[in-house]
Amino acid sequence: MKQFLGLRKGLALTMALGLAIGACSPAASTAPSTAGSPAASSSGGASASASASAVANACGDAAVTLNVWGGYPELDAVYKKAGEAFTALHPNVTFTIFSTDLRGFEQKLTTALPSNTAGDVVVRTSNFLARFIDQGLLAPVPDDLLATITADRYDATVLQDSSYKDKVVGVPLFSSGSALYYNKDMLTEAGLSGPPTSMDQIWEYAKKLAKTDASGSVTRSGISFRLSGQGSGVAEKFWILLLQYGHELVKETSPGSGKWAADYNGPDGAKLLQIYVDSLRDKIDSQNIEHDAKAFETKATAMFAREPWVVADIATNAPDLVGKYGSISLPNADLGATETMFVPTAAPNPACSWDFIKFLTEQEQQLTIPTIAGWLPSRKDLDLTEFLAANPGYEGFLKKPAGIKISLTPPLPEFDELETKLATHLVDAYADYANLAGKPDKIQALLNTWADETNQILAKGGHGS
Amino acid sequence: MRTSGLAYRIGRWIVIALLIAGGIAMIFPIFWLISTSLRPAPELLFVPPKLLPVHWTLDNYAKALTAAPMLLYLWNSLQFAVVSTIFILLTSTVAGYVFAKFSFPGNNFLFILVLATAIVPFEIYMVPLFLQVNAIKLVNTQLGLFLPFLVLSYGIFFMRQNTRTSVPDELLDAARIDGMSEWGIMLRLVPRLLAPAIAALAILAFIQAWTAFIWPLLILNKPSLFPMELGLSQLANTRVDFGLTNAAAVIAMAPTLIAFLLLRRRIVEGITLTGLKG
Amino acid sequence: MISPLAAVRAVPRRTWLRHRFVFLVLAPVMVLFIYLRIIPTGQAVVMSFFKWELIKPAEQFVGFDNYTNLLKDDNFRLAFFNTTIFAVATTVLSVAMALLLAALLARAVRGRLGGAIELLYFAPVLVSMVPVTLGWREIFNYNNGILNAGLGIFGIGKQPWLSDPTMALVAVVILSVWKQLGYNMIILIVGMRAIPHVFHEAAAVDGAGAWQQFRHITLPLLAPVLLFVIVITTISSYNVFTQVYVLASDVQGAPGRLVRVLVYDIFENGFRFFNMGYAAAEAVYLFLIVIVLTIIQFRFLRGSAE
Repeated sequence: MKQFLGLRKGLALTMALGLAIGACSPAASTAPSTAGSPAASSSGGASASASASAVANACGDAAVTLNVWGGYPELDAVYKKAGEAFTALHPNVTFTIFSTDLRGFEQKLTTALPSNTAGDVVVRTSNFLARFIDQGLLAPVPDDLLATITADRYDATVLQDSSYKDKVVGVPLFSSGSALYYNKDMLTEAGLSGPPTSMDQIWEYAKKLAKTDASGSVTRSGISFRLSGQGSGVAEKFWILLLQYGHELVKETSPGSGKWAADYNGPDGAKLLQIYVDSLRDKIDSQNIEHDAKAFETKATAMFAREPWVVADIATNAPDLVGKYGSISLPNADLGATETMFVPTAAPNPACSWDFIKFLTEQEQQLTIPTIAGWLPSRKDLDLTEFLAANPGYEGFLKKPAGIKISLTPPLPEFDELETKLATHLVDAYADYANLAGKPDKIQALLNTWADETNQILAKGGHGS
Repeated sequence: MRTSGLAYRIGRWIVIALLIAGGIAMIFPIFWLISTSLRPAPELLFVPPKLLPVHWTLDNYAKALTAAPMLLYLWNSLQFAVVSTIFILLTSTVAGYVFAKFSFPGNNFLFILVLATAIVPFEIYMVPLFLQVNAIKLVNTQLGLFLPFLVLSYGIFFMRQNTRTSVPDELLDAARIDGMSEWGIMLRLVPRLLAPAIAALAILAFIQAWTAFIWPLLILNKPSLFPMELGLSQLANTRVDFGLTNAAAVIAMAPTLIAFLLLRRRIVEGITLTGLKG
Repeated sequence: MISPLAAVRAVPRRTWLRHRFVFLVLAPVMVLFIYLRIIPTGQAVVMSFFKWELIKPAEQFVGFDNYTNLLKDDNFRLAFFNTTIFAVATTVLSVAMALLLAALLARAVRGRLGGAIELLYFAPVLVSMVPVTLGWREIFNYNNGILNAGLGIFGIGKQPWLSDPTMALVAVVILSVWKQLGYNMIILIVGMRAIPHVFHEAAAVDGAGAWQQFRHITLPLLAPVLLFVIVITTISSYNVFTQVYVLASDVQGAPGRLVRVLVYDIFENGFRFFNMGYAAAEAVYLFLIVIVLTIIQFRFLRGSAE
């Protein structure tokens, strides 16, 4: 056991050696990024001209395999179907599809893009990909395609969400917001004639719809909140409800100033958090039961807010619920997000990739998105009346009341960090509901501490006020 | 043998009964996974849950096999685990033996170097390693996947400890006097003496590669190269169908359980060998 | 142990041949080690002194900023606290239980029955973490999980296994001990069976009982293996990640409170917030914690074994 005496010395030597070798080869760490940047403009330009001059045969005649990457597995079938249709036109082109859950996908992109191993077509929000655009890892949209991304085809919010530094950087594929899903049978049973149309009504209904068993445990939530889970989801759901009261998580102090500040710690934010913790105290929802779509499908909740994919999910996983539920737009506002398509700078067949992206924006392909994946296409000039008649579950998404305000994720690289950290605090506060329920002072104090942290993160990112 | 009274025998059977009860509790979660994979979706929500399905069904398995190329994932995992195990056994046994039985300048230093790396969690150096592997263009390749799993620091530590306890110097000297070469001793005599330790290490190395998660996640972008664990997590993360996920999990588990039954014989053999040694 | 210099003087030719042998054997192994472990570790340390964003080529030297900022970071402190409790609980429970099992299975219960029992305890080691955690997540479920149903039989009320901050940690410990126990047991059994019979026989002749034999023969001779098991369990416990990640990861935020642990925090800082240098500094802290603990364990066990 003599060698253990020398353990510390050995460790020191290991570190020293490692440091020495590590310091001598910093090239390895930066090689992928630096290799990416200078190539950005030239390669992007080449692809633009290539697809502009040879639209008819951008994929050439040689065998080409396009790898499509996305963070929404339910879209796989859409890509597959579009791929088959594309192969029918260009027999030399075949497709592979890679998708994983969104968080995993984002992590994948952060390693795959710098190492030039990402797919030929990458689908994610422009906001998330902004930092990769800055590094020249994603090619600019070719001019001919750019010309089709206009206000005739897309909503202003979709265009804004696909832009970075006032320029459209990604090609919109599908867009989403949230709506309130409600179980018609449960509403009827509680003597409620229709879905709630104001925030006060939502809280009032939730109270009536919740159920507890003899021991006092919640068996059915009146409304299913997002109370736990990793990542920023908890804060995002809070944000969507906060939007109804006219507030954001962070707000630009004056438009165009580039200075941002927390916006959730005002009286409305405090009121909303109060509603959350009071609801937990009053057994309208509980940490101990199922949540979200799973709860809705298993009748463990009466209402919850989520994106349109749930409609397709219900059809597969809870067919008995079809026709017995509805969706309605949230009363005052919504949070919009657009998934956009990109071609990595390192992709070997950029012209062909762009050609396929263009193909996906065509009417026929856009219309397969709702039927196959349950998401709604980004294009606004498509006729979805027939689709809605066949799938009434989409009412809350396709029939938005006039004047509803659509908010977007702010263009801040540090937004995810502040949102994730806020989510952690919210989870703690929800768990501590017994001490917070009915105590507005405590809640306000908490919100102020969190807002300080948020503002610090903004300041660190150069957006503080 | 020493005590053969009734009390001793009763005590022994109580101990055995407790051991078996504990053992059943240990495999219960696995049993539960299998049991839930064989029932239709509504039965997953019974309160209280039932031990066995009311309506037995293989539907979840059919769904799992169509949802993902499970068999390809298994094959990828097998290749990965076998290559990794062979390399780790080879490198650990020879290095452990040399560290234990030879005095040479730098023995302690090199051994501590190895030992120190055993303490460094993989997650710490994962990103620089990724960049290194990227620099030699092995990202998204099988070789790139295998690389970090070719050596195992604590494998060397373990084999060195075992060489010290199970390989007597006298035996080595006797072999040398008999004219056996150093290579022959290391590659033929020593492994036989270390059989139980090698078997234990083989299991460890195999499991390590078989259950590897973060590295494959980082380095592989092509589903056709995915090992089971990664393929399964992708499947589980993207579905809310618990029946399907459970069935996929059972498919993922089955080969390891079979492999273990095979490897167990080797352990038993190894144990017999050490018994003879005394 | 004879000193190398003395050996050179005594049998120069043979020693030289032996050194060549040693070199030929060790060189390829060490090359792999340096390339796969030491260089990347060194680079991680270098990274920790930079503001480094993974995808940005521009790196900014920040000295010890990352280290000092971490000490003020609530998430890091919580992660450190959780991980430490987790590691201590998991190591103590899994090693103590494994030792008991090994003592019973190595000698008292052998043969076919003993083998079958070993198999039961070892089975969890074989199944990979992701599927098993998914299974446990359902077992821990508050309303329709079988664990709460089972506790109900004994009149124990439903426990919020996954949603309560303390219980969530307990749940992760249960899952991890369950997973680790069989491995520790099998290593200890191998170690115990490697102890030559003669020692026990001699002690039995001297009239030593089972406990005395265990205390005075098995334990001291087992010390190196026991040390190995403790060190490995501690290290792997400090690196806990997959089970925590899977328990709290769900597309729908289902019951499952995140138990923030160090590796999770490293991951979040590195891959989500792109603060690679910060994450690297956090990794170095983790590394230091593990080293200090390992040294303490070596010291302590060496002391008690002698």
